[in-house]
Amino acid sequence: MKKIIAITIASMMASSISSFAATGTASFAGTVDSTCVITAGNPGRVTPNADYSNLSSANPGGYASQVTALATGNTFSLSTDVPAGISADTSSSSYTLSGATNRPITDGTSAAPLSSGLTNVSVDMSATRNSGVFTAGAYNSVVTVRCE
Amino acid sequence: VNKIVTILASLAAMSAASFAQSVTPMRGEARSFADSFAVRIVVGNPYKNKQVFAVRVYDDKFYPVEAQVTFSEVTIPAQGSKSVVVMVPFDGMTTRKVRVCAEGMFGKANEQRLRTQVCGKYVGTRVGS
Repeated sequence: MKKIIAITIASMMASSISSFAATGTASFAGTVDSTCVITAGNPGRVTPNADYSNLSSANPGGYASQVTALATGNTFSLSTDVPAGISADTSSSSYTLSGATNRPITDGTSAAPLSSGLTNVSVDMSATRNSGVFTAGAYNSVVTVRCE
Repeated sequence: VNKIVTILASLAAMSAASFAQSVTPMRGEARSFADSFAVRIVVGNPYKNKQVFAVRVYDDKFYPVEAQVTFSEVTIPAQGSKSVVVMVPFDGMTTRKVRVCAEGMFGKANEQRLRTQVCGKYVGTRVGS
């Protein structure tokens, strides 16, 4: 009889311990900062127009620079500066957004609010000479893409 | 040299482990009893190789501000981050708004190059003056 009681008690204890372990919890905590990440992708290429007065990534054979902007909040905006590095009478940049934020082609100096998530940014640039042409040679420009 | 007493306030609470984020935090306020205030940011490198970033300080109209930066140029390993402290002079103002920007340059010399710029906005308030 004593043996049966002992086995029963041991069994109950084991059962109790087992069920306690099964309901245990492990806690995790963490925070995500509100921030913006710009990642440069493929650089663009500018080509001349038919009369060589304009260099643009929108001309035949040219293509836009590709960038991504990842926002973890809804308080950020994206803009691009006027391109630097090419001597011209007028220079401009523009961008198109797709993904988390969608926006048709927009003048670079106009800031676009970013929605949280990953936004693809296509950056175009153009430089025009009112008189004269872009003579033979290499032309390099820099466009600033800003998230703030 | 004036003794500078600075309150880092909430800006000091940032985690150095916030990798893969270009600039954190991107908003902040600091209060200072001295002629300048401090902003501490963490510059992150989201790329798969090391990158060099410049840290620049501008006012709210994007004119350069002569601020002291612990690392005006930082080399950060892939997926890494680095803390940078910026001391911004009030220059007679009681409240000063600045942008602290992490700038990277990408593309080869014969390509359309991109300067990526992530800017946080910070406000310093001088107290006790």
